Amino acid sequence: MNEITRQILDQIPSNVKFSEEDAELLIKHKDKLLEWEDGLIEGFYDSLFNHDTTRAVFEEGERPAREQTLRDWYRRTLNGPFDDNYWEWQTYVGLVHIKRKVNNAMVAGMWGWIATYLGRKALEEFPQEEALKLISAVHSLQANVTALIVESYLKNMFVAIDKAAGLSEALLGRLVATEIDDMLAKAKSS
Amino acid sequence: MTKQEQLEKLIKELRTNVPDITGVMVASSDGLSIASDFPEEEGARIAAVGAAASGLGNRIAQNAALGAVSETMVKGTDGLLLIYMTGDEGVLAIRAPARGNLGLVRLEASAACEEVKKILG
Repeated sequence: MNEITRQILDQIPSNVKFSEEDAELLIKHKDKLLEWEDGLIEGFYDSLFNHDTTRAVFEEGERPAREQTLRDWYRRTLNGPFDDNYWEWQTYVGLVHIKRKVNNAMVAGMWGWIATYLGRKALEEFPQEEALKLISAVHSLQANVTALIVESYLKNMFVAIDKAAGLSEALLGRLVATEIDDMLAKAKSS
Repeated sequence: MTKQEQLEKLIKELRTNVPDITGVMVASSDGLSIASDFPEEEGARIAAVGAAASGLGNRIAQNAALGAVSETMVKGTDGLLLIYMTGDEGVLAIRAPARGNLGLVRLEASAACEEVKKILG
């Protein structure tokens, strides 16, 4: 596993992190989960295209290609394996998001949508106990994937700033530290 | 004598040799103050922005094909800040009045840089 991916995953408490059991559960139910694929893709992009800010991320006529990208991700996820390549791919998405101007609020919002959609479907189609297990697995997947995407977004921003302006992440941290107390005091008083 | 004491002695000598100087700081290249006679409330900020100016100066030099950077200077109406790399890990920042004896400041700064390099070695 590459360094940045390992560093990010190490930040997540082990009881929250996506586990072998989570992986087995998703793969066990993959046929059912794949039946929900079309609704997931359509609902996901309807949400994005019905909101001005997120619609602005896309170019004219791009939706079919992006839908295929999400479809490929969903199938790859349900087919496993959850190996180094899979997690490194999620880290790479953070880098792509910088280029595409997909910010972290969009990622958090849309991952919430995915988890809610899959949770509802699980409760509709599985006995409650199994549905709750599946929802938990989806939440753990959400934890890993969003952590990788948003942290990679930030870390790669720092790398780009360092390359462009010679300001290392440690130095940026120091610059932030000189201002953060004043910022906190202002935020508290407002 | 510890490295810290050696740096503090060097700062005192620099101030004695060039009384125009109003502040001297040795900081790490990631902006942490190592030795300084700037007022404490200014020290952390000057260390951080001094290291940032040095890093940015290096990138400007690379992108504009200026060769190795010998000095980064920020000049204001009330004074100037001269920043020097002291090896890969350190930065020397010197504040002086805008109308001071810049030639003498630079001369002493150059010698001080070599000394800081040796101390931080």
